[in-house]
Amino acid sequence: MLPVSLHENDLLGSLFGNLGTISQLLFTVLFIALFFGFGQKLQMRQFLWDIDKGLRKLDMFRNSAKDLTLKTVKEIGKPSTDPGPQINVLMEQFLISPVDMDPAGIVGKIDHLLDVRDEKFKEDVRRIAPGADSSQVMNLENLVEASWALNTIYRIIRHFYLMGKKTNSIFIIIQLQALLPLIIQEAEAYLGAAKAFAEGQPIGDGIGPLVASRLMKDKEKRKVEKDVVVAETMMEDRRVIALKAEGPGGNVGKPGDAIKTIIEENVGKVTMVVMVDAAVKFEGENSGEVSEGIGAAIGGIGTERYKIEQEATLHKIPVYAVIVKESLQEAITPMKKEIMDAGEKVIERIKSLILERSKPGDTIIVAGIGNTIGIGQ
Amino acid sequence: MSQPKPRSGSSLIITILAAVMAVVGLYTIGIALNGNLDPTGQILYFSIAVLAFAFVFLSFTRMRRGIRIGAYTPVKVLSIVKCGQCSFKQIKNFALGDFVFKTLGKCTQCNVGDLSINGIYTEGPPKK
Repeated sequence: MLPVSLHENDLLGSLFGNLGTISQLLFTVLFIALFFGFGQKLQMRQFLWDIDKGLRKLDMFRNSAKDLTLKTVKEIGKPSTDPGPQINVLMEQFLISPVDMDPAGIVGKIDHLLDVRDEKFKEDVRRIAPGADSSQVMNLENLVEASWALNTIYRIIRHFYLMGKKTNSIFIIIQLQALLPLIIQEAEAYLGAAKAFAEGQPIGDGIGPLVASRLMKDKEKRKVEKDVVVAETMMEDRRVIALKAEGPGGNVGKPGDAIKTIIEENVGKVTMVVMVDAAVKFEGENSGEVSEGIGAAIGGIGTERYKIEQEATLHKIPVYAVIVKESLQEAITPMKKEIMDAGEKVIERIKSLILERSKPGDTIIVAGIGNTIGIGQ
Repeated sequence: MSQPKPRSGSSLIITILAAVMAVVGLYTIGIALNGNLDPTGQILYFSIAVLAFAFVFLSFTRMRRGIRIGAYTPVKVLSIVKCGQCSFKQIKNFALGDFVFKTLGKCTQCNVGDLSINGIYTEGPPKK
């Protein structure tokens, strides 16, 4: 019941007191209209506000990354003209994946496309930054890629935001609003990555190359395949061939091709392959924890893993994986102390794996997988 | 970029509304507690106060979430310099051009071994 007997000087009483049941009816109708009729609309408006706020953050992130890219290119590359328009062109670059209706041979096609893309990207960066050395070109390439990723994230989110608004589709809006915190977290990590790439700092993903570089320290190195260096060392009376992408420029190399070459150079001698890489941890797990397993520990689109699996199967060589757990954000931002400290634990784990699974005199490949930015050899 | 930018200003409206609601909540709770009303009137004013404070609380939590996901904290990166011969170890701020296993010249302590960067790391931002 509404307050029909409210006090004379009472605010609501003076407003509604005389109206009695009519006001009660009005309130009920208003309640039903608001919460049942417009409830979804109100909720959608609230979600749109959230997305709008997130989108402005993403815009800020991509602008920061772009400004940083421009500043770094100007500082390191010493271009004679304004690199802005050329960087804008790079930001909108895309890759058309090959037709997969007939999947036979698709790995080769993707590999070829990625090679062309890498070469073109590198050439473009070299052109806009003529003053940069090869290592700096690699870092700048990584920096432009991080800016490209932020730009792409922003464009995709804006597309769905505007489409959701245009079509008034609550399903698009809900999905976007639910995913946005994760997307913003990822974008934030890319911004951190851009800063690391601009200064050439090692990132969490570099733990594999860091372990390999510790194994190959003070040993004679040679270059095999595209941007991969190899050195031989002895460990527990076994011949260990360690490999990593050539640093300290930001680079992942082509470890699949390198492992294939080494196996073919040492036919019948290689008894095992140990791959060291960073792996995404589950929430609740500690960063820097070391785990081991079986199989080719390598990320990316899958072409390098395919090559390693093919070669290992052909020669019946077991492939072992030693991984260091870290979050996606940690993998692309400057390397944390606990991840760097895990390097020693990984070497101990490799030693025990070698002792358990091979005989003295055997040849073992240890591949440090990941981006070698800020890590020499 | 020529594409339309997302509309801004929604958080300002929410903040103003939350402030208005806080005033409404305080005012109505004051009326409800002054004792001149009958129980029905008190319940009505309390309900309005609860609704107003609920709105303020929800707005506040939404704003807090926005701040939490958006704050980027730059990290401090350090380089570990070690001598290959003696026990010399130094931790310095990362400088542009540093990389792991970069040689920095002769050790100032033993004058025999070479100084090199043994590791580069970040302590990371403090955990929230």
